[in-house]
Amino acid sequence: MTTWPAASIPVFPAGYKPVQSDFTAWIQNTLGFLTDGVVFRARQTSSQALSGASNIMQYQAIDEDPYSGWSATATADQAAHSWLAPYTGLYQVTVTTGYAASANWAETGVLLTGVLTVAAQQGSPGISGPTAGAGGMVTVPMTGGADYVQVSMSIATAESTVITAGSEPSVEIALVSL
Amino acid sequence: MTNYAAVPVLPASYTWNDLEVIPVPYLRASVSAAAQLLSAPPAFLGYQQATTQSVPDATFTGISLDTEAWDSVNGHDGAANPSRYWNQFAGYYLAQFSCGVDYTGGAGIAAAAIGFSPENGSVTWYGGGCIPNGASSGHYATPQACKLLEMTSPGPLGGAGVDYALGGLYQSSGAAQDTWYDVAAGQYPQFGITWVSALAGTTGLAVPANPAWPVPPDYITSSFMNTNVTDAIAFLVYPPVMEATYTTGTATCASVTSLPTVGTTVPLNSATYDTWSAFSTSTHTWTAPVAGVYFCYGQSALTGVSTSESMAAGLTVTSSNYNGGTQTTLWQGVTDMNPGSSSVATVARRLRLNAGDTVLLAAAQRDSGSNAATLQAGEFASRLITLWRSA
Repeated sequence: MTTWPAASIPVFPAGYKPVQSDFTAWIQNTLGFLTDGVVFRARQTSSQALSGASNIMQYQAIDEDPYSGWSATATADQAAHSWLAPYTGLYQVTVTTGYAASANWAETGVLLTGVLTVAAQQGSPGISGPTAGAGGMVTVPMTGGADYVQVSMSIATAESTVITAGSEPSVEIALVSL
Repeated sequence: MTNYAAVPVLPASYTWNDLEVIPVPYLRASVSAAAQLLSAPPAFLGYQQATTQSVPDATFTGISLDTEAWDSVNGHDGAANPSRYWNQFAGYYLAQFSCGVDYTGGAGIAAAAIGFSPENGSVTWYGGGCIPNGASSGHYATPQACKLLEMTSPGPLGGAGVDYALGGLYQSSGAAQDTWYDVAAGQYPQFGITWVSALAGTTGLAVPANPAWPVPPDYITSSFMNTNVTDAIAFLVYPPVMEATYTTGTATCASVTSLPTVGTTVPLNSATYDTWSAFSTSTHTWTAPVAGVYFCYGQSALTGVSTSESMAAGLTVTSSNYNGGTQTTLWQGVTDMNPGSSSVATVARRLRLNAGDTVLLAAAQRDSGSNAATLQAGEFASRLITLWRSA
């Protein structure tokens, strides 16, 4: 997982004698960025107690974060449990959240620099569902170095998240377009 | 938003030969064109934030978008036909939509759908998430839908013969209901669409390695150019893209009391799109052709009986990156099911997979009488989408 400068359209001047560093900037960096993209993936490995209101999801296993956007603690640039976008662009966020028991409703969303966008809202099993949960996807425009994403989970009653392989809460963020 | 003020073009492809110069126009037509197309592909994101819309009972209805958050090639017109995104550049597109229903009476279903009009003809609706209407005051059912579209005919907005796509809502409360938006609360209908691949290209190429360029006394060979420029761009423009659908409508999904480690496989029997021939309609299995991070979306469509309670969709993965390599289903979690009528659970993930890893679509459902549910076909059908998105 290599990091690259954001791609721009390379200008190839005519009548110019390029050296290796020119090709690095024009082609290796450009195609490298387009190949590797910007991806963040994380999972929860410790159960989180969710209040019967809005919660910010916390993740302990950071599987992929080449641009070091994640911070579990608040900094000058971002809130706790958030991912800071390295580049300005359109990003897609995918979220899953499994929790232990039923609730009358559940709401999954993302907070973009503190402003909520709800991905999906649905009823959770009212009658002894196997393992309740919610998830969804949201596409958000972000300003690089300024906007950050937190995952929001609101449910009707207090619950705890479920940490079993395949059902643990997860989040992925990826750049769609500069 | 990076707006290059021009619709992109497909990068040119050159076969390089030893002992020839590297013409600047060739690099512009290949590398520069690839940078424009792939760094800022045609993409749109629109919201309904200013005016609610009445949606008739039991009718797929296109949802107007009054706010443009992103429209890189100006494919949306907020005044004329504001629900539609018009094709500006041919290719495969990924469309997604979500919409809430301003109703909490608890009757009927709420479903999101993607509509597609090839060449400005009749619209075909592809149902997505389908859940019970809200039954708690202040909490509105908000289903999601996702669909891969093959858009072949670009052109002027509203033009005859030009494709368009849109998001749609279906609700069956028994009366017309408004869409739900509350901008302050972050809830509003939203439709997004992004170009993800050319319609044709070369398969079997390796994921670009993007090595350092030679330093004298080493020199640039034709092999280096063909691998790291021509093939690299060809791969990125035409990566693995797949969508499979279940069209039979006869298989069943047994009732379970807890989410199984491996869910019931949905026997997807039709590969709607499969650019790298990676899906088997006999084993219902998609095999990753190359390593990378894949966007994976699944929806499991079920018809239960009056005692149906809950459902879930999952991605059954066999990969050393998940569960130690032992096959497991990655669930999105369980949600309410519509007793006796269409129900669709969804799951969306970005998974890191190795070449040869497999993904199947899984379903689970619980019925208080332990009855099986039917995996349905038609407007609400199960489908699996996999897209290579990055190395």
